[in-house]
Amino acid sequence: MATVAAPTQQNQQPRARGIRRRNHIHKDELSILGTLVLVLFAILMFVPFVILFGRAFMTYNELFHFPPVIIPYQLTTQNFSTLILALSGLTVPFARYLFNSVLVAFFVVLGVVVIATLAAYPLSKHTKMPGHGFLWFLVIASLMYAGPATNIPRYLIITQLGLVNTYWALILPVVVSTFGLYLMRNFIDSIPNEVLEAARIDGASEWKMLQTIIYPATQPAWAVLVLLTFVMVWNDAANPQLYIHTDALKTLPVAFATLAPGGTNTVAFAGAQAAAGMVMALPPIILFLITQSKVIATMAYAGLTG
Amino acid sequence: MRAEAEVLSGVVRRPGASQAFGRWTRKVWSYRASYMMLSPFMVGFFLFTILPVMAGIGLSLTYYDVLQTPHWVGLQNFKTLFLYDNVFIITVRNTLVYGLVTGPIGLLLSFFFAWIINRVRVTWRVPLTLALYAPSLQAGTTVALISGYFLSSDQYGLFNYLLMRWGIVHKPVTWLQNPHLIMPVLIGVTLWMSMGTGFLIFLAGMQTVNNSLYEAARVDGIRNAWQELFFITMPQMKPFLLMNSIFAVVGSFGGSGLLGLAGGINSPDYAAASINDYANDYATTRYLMGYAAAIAVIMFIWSYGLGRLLLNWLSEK
Repeated sequence: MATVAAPTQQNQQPRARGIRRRNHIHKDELSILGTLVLVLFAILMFVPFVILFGRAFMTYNELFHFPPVIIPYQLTTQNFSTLILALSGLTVPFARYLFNSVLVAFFVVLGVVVIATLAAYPLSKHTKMPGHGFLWFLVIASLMYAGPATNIPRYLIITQLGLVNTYWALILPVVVSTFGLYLMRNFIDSIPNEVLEAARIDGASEWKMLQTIIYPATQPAWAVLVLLTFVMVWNDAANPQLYIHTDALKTLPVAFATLAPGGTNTVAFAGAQAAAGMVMALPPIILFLITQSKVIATMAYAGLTG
Repeated sequence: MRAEAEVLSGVVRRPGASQAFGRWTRKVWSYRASYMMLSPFMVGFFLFTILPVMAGIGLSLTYYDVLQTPHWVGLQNFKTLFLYDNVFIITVRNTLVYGLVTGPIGLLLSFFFAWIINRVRVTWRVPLTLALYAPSLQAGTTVALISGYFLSSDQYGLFNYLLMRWGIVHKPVTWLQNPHLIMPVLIGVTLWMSMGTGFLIFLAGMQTVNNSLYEAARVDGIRNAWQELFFITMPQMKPFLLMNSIFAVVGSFGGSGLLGLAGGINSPDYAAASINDYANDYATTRYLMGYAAAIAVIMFIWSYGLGRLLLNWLSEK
């Protein structure tokens, strides 16, 4: 780095005007050109969604029009009505799948927020507990094991417990996913130990401390937890396919595959397929818009420890 | 009581096994609140994660085709995998290529865009962040659907349509059926989706960098944004970079998960199959669970080993 002599009063004067104006905004703002390029790139990244949402509202004329149409001229909601009313080939109406997805997602998120915070507190702060290191090692190691061969044993266990074909099979295994635990543990790490020590000296029991200190302090992190858990559950196609055999309980991603089994080139239900795609793509985006300020504020903590 | 008696009688014994055990029991009892808090999670974790993993490791030493009960074959599966399985080598190559390209490049892209977005006006940050983050929120099936609009192998696919219209090609390109093109296509789509949690973490982390550092740097002679990036932003972001890079590289070795794109688990010539896809193939299509479990064990050793290696290497720097 160039070493410049410490600016004295004299040589600071003539340059001060230039520097001081730049220091007014302590970080350079991007030039106009740079901003334009960035905006263009962002638009390009978003184009696939624009196409998807456009096709959800297109009539069949324009869906298969050649040259391909991006922005529809004739808007219609007929695709959505096809989707919502009973479709031939599916034994339950589409709304049922939507309801299932929402239900499962809601309970999983609720369960994860409660249970992960509960378990993260001892794992983060009670480091002298017998078995602490071992348990944490198990948690970390399980993050790295994603074997498909665990599906069969897991299926057998769930059958033994009598949970096959129930909502519980979709909720319980996911609630104990280690990702939420990892996140909450990192966040609770950032709570200073002195606060807890002071509370302990004041005679608070662990449960009391949980209630009065930990829960309020971790509320910002819940935004991140909710967002990421919801996305994980909402998009999950593997678990329902494995554990649920009755149509009435299947979730959106599974139903999606039945709509147009030939991919994007089948004519039948192409519009409904796009509409279903939009229904699947939109909720995570909306949830992100709602929680984004809290999420970004919390991510700083999540990245610090690690 | 006992200690008093010992001292009074002049005999001091070292703590025997039973006393040490008593002490340990008391310690465990003193932590009973912690154990109670851990229990809901640990019960489910044990039932639904640990037990299946142990069973999976056990299965890798057997021959199990779901129809008969598993019978023991020892390390036979592993021997076959390493010595006789040609397709396994192909999948290893695929996974390496895929992981080494998308991991670091995705990380660099996330870092770069987080840095740029941090420099634009605050009002523009939310829509820009949304545009870059939204793809990572999508499911594999949705991405497969959207990609189908672009990558369809007939002239309706948007890429093909544009390429043909501009005269670059004269026949539609078979993006997804050509073994040579599948991997680049897969990598491209993954990079589109790669600005996820890591991106947000970088974005947040960069906002926490102390602003007085930038001012001090200006006094010291840093002139433009690139210098600022190298000398200040990157070193400050080291802890974030560490965690993210581990997740990125290890995670991308877990396979693409974009199976729907290539129209099924087995792409032509296994050109796009990752090790994960290969194991899935054996598990769900051929029902050779023992072999699939062996592949899974290898994947696990690999990911865990790689993760620890990266952790050690990067935390020294």
